Amino acid sequence: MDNGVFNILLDYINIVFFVFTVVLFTLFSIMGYLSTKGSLHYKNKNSFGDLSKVMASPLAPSLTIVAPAYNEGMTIVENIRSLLSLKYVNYEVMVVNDGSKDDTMQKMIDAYDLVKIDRKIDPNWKSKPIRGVYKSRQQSFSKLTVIDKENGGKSDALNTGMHLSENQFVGCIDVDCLLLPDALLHVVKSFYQRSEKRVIAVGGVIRIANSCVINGGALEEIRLPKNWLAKFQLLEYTRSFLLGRMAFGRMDSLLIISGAFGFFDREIALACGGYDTNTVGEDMEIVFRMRRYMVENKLPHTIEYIPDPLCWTEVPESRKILVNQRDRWSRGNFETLYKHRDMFFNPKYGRLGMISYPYWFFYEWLAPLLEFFGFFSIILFYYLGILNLPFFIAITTMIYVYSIMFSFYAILWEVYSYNEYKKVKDILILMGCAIVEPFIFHPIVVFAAVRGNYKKLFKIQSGWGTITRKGFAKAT
Amino acid sequence: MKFPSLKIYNLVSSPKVPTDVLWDLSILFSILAVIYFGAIFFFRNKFKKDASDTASRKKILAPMVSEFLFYEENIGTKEEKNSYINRKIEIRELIKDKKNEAVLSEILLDLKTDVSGQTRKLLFKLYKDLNLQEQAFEKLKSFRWQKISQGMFELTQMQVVESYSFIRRFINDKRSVVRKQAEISTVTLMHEGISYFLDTTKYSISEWQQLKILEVLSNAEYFEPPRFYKWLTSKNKHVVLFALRLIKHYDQNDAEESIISLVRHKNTNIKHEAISCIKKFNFQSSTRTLKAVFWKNNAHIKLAILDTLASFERKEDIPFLELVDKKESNFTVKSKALSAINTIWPEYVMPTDGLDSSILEEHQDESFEEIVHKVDVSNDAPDDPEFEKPDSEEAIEIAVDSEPIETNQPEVQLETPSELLPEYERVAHFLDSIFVNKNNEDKVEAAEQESVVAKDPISSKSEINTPEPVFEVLLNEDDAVSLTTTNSDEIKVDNSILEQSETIIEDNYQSIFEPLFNRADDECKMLLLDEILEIGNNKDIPFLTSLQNHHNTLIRTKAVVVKAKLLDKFTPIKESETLPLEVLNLQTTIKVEEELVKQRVEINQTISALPIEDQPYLIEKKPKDLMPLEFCFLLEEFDLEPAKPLDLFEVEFAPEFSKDLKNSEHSSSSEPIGLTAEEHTYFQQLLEFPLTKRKKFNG
Repeated sequence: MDNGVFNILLDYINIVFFVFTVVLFTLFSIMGYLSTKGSLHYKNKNSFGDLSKVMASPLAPSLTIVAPAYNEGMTIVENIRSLLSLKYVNYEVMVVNDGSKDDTMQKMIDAYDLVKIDRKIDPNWKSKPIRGVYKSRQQSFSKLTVIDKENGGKSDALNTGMHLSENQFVGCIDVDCLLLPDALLHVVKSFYQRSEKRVIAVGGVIRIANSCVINGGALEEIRLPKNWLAKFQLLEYTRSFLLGRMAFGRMDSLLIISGAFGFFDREIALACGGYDTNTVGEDMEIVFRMRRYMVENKLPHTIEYIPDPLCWTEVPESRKILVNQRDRWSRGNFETLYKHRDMFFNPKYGRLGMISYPYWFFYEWLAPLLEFFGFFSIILFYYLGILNLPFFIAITTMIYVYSIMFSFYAILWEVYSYNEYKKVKDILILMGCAIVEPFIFHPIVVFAAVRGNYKKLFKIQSGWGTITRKGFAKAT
Repeated sequence: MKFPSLKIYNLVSSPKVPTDVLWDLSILFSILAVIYFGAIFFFRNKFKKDASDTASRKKILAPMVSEFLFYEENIGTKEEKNSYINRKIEIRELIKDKKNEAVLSEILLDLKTDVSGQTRKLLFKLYKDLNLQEQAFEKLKSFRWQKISQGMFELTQMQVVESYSFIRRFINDKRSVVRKQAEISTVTLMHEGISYFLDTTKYSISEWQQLKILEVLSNAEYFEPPRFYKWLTSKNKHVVLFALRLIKHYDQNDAEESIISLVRHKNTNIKHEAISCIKKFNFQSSTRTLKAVFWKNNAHIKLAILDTLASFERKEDIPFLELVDKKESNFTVKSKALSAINTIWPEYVMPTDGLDSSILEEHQDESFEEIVHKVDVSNDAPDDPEFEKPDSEEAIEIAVDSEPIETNQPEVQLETPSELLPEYERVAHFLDSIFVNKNNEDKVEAAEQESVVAKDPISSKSEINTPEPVFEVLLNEDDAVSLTTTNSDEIKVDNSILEQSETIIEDNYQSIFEPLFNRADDECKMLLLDEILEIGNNKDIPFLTSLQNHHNTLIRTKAVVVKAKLLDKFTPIKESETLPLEVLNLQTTIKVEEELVKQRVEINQTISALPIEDQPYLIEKKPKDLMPLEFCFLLEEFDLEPAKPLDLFEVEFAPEFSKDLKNSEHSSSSEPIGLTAEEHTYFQQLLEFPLTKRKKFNG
């Protein structure tokens, strides 16, 4: 091939990478700005007043927390106890036993003195058969409802709970999540504080509970995880939840609510058909669908985001489980984006179509693939002797420094807003993680994303995978 | 492949990315990273320092505050008073420092939540004495929304009533946080604040804000709520909604018409709240409006309406609820409609799903009175313009009112298609026969004792023109035919009498072999058929006829043979004679005695009927618990067989017994010893039964 043309092609590749990087930096910088503004506004707005005063108000809405459980025998009793001790009056905890193969159901029956009750179920509702609905004989557990059904996956379990609930708002959480006592008050406030727009969903920050001291379902002491993978994930979650989602929330363009802590307006969620049982990214997909439903019906709406650390969960400490988790996330991402592809740069959907969707497409789905193939291209180019080394080094350094800077900004914001990790050592460790993350943790995430996409493209069957819980009670 | 010459490349050459810019950006980001690194520790240390500084100031100020709060001017000694004054001077000096002032305000705000009564009043007094409100007033002048809100919050918490007029100006502020805090403060500081707020506000009131204001009002001491109906006409829909909620909260039921009219409001929340008020205050005059708007609303409102109708417990609403059950597609709404019906009329709707149909059939076959009858009440339908009758091809509804039937009321014509002559007419004849006799009061008493409440078109003061064919009682719910009377009078009859009359029919035509036969296995059945041939009589003919449909071919064949031989043996009974004449008369006019009709008895049953078509009276029974013959006898011997519904009628009516009974009746008006009032009633009925009819019954 003619050298001149080839050089031009290479130059254009450089330009494409450069533009891609600059746009990414610009977006990240804007996100940083918006999240700062949003967080400050939130902090000032909520700096006075007592939420708990209204928890028993006659106007306070009713809520149902739906928690699907599959083979959670080890931790289920403690987790339910934690859910039952939330600071709110008008709420119900609905645990859906999704055909567990272990003793989850029996443990619940024994611990909470459950008895089967008669409950009429809509014959037209499509979900896996329900074996029984259980309530406790004891008044102290009257808020608890347990549904025993055949295994149908998380989405099916959540749909069942959502359908059987009779309350206005439904919270879909992971049963192993630890909610802080004030969580429901914040959620209710978020649903109720708007008057011109309908709040169709509320999401929040997910914090990492690995190594934290938890006693009797209550968070006693916040500690930095001991496991290195968990430390990297802590940094990643801080960046993502405190900066990323806060910024999208500020722009009213949130397209995802974490499956571990998401509350929905039941009427709208059911009108959209509930969770999609054919995707592993159901938490993202339902938000896409609800948003579209509202836009297509020309109904003013919004999704609220709570930056307060209300939900704490365990993250994988093993590389294999982590890869499986991220593999599933990327498959879910792909499925959702593909399903709603007509939103891509579609002005009909406003910011959702013009900003959120493209962001998810280019920087959440495509970026890991580009990184992966870029890495091998660089090796190849170097081997062929056509690598523009000065450009490569300059742009790599810039990206690296930027990533560190952005992580530092996230840590700064964490210290400024909530200051959960008070020890200097903890902060220094987090900073250290930010420095080494691009070499240690990030490649794992990229690999998992590529694997997920590969599975999806070549239709390799893969389910949810499993995560072995230590259980909060033991996490001392 | 040959590319164009290099000269052309120069024209399309790519722009070069200046590597220097990349390095510059890298340096910039590095500097920012370092700044952030420094900022992290700066803020961390600052927060730590601030916290310790505040703590140390609190350590000094908190005991002083405590001293002020618990100092009693009248009791204190001179030294104590001096000390108190010195403290006051000291604290005034301290709060000249802005930080101390802020910390002191913070202490007082914290303390406010922990103390009550006189101490709290002292706290407020101290706040004002130290002129701490000045800094809060200063905050109100700030341009920053958070400062203004903070100032208003502080003044409100410390009950600085003087700030009311300053704060209420912010009620229509553009900044939502300021506005919301002003609303709360206005309502908190003065009792008339709520009126001012509802009168003045132009903005929306969020649900959360309503919740908070209600909480403030609920905790206000000596609060006399204004009449909130005044705001139901507000142009601000949020004010209307909030007013409705306040009306409900304070039980102000003086705005019935306004509230009912708000059910037609476009806003769903207002509609829902209005319905909620209607339910709470039991505004039954709203029924028409509720029904009128029902179909136009979403499921949420529909549920609320149904809930409200259920709470009214008006039987007139049942047809509407049934219509909802039939026409509504939403499962929850349908369920709610049924639930409402059962709330109004317990067990009006019986469970049908998941029942073992085989058991049901056996049940039906075995006992007549366990048939589920159903009569649709629809008398309010004509009054309701929005009411639509369900399009049921089979159901002809009987209009029944809760009012007793007057004796002078016109006779009711039951419009019955000739091909659907119901079996109850046959039963009705017996009712007629029974009812026209004396002692009706006793019958009614018996009915009341049984607490069987039923509505029966037959027993009404009505004439029924019955078509030609005789009808067989098949008791099949699926073939149910309801009838509609032309008037809406309530038709009441003692259902127990109906049941008893049916038992009369059954018993008088029952072969003595039948009970044994039904419990016997096939082998025994064959033996029993032999016995029938040996000792049977013409009473066994209908039974043998019924066996012609037996599933076992041998039994079926043998039954035909035995029947033929029996017919030869005895004078055959014509099929037309197997039923009383009155039953066969298709033009029977059923007249119910005035005394009976007056009794408030309701029928909640559906009576099924099929034409007999030249068949004799037949009650088909399915074999149940089949057993060898000796066991059948054993059961009978030890009286282990479950009692039939009206065993009383199995008693042979020996003339002596009848005479005795009659004699005892003549001799004394009191009931015979050993008989209940109910039994007594039936004995009387039967004894007075026309002899000719009795003979026919006995074959």
